[in-house]
Amino acid sequence: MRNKADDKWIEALSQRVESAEWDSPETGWDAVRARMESAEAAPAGRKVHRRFIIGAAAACLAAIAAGGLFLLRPSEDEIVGLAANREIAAAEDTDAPAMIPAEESAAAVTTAIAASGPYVGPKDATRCSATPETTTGYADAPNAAPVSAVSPDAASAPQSESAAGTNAAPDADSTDNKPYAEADAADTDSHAPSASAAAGNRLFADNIVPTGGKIRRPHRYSLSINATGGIGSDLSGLSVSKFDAAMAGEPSDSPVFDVSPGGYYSKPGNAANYEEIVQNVVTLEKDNSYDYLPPVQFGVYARLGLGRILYVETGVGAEILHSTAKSIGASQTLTYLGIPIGIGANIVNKDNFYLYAGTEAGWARCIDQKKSVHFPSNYTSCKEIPDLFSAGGKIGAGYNVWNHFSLYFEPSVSYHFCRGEMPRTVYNAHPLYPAVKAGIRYSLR
Amino acid sequence: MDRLEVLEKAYADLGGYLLAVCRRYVSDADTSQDLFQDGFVAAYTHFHQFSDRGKGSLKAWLTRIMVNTCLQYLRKGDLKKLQSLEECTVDATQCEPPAAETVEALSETQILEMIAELPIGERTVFNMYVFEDYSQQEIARALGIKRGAVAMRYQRARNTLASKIRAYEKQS
Repeated sequence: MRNKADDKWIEALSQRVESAEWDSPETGWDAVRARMESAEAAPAGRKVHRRFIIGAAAACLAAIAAGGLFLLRPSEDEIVGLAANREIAAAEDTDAPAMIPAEESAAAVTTAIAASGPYVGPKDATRCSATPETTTGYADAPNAAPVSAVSPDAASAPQSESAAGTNAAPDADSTDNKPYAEADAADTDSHAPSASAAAGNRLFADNIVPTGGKIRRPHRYSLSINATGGIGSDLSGLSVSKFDAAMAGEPSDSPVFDVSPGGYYSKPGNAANYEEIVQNVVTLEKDNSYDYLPPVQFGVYARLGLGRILYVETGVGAEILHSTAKSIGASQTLTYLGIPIGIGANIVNKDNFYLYAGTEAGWARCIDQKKSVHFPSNYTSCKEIPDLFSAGGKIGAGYNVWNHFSLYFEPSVSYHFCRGEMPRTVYNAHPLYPAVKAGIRYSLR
Repeated sequence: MDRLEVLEKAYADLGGYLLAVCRRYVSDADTSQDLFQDGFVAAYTHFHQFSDRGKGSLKAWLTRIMVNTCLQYLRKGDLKKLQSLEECTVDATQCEPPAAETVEALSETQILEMIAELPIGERTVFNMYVFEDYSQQEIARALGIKRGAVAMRYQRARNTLASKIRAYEKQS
């Protein structure tokens, strides 16, 4: 742009306008004052708008969290396993008497032994004030013939024994070796297990034994290291030769794009075809065709689990964006360093496999710019390049390969917000951009 | 002095100047009057952000508020017009710059009217660059256009104004 100081008449115009005044209405102040007072009484419209946006965003997050919780609700066998765990803990606490009747407590021990499988040995069973016979019977059951417990008949016998052996029920002996229904019919003691409780115990056994009775504890903390690559290339799809026509006759080393104040064309003697040059720049920015290499990302991220389902994630990541202006073969490589913040939910966590989904927002700043002299960018240094903001969603799958290490694969889609005039990158042409991340994750617990 | 008194005094002292600032951006008299009032209301609600740095600081602060209020209005209402490039009606080769003396002979109202006759996009760029001392990049960001487009609009506005002033010069 031509320097305004070069035009004396513009300077004179500026001075004249600086002192210009327009007649303000004489009664204007009263109207302004009334509006000021009403503005103070009522919240500003913009604030309401902002609050609405914040509220809507919070509602969306809550809906995502609620949806995640619903999808991730524990299955029946997990519920049984966790309940059994709590009951074992209650039974182990000798100082605090259990709040449940003794028979039910014994049934709970049975369940817990079945649920815990190899993790609860004879030592634990002994602490549960069971008789030696009962202890031996239950400790052996999962190891000797775990599948047998699936059968209601097989399961009912030891459970009835347990109830008889651990309590002073008057008619305990009469229930030995009888099915649950019969035992309930014969036993009129109110402390004896009910038919539904017995059926529940059978259900526990049915559900737990086939899955091995293992209670999975989700990892609370995890640290992941990502190596990521984007997908797609040459997505611009634009090809216009206007630029070539506009450039015809220009020397190859002409600083065509330097039209800033103080630049080549603002200097005396160089500004003859200023209009044409400006037109060329505009044409180029509109029509030139660019090639983009897939963005490459890599970084280190830490993830913190919030309970069983939700997690938050943040870290530091670098991203390299390479662009080439086809017509002139000039290229630019920008390196951004960014901090993403994400929230997500674990969808599946079974055996060694896990699946999760989340949303992520990121801020990145340019830390390095390498470009050819002729690349059409108005930014001569990294400091001038606006920060890059993005938001997106992702879904990921991982497999625990060894001990605490797992490999994961993470497709994602992000929208990049281009503020003001961004440098020519793939995100200018395609703000909504897919990427695929893969990496290794180390879980602390 | 509380903020109401400060602003009442500013209204009395600077009202004419601030209204002229609004008129530079919005040619319609009623709309510029509304924006002028909006600017004062905005100054009242954000008065805690004003830091008194001596003489002239209140004037500068209020001017910036008026400009921002006008830009906000233009972005909302005439964004497409603001961003589009109108057909250039002035032949740049015929626009010889007028003499500074000719400009000095013009009345302030005449100058403001000439500026008000410019197309909205060119007028906004010209005002921001010449009177508010925004940089080319700041204008591009504020209006959401390319730097090249800023340069072109400034050039067109300059040529149009030059031709108007020269026409006035010939008439007189």
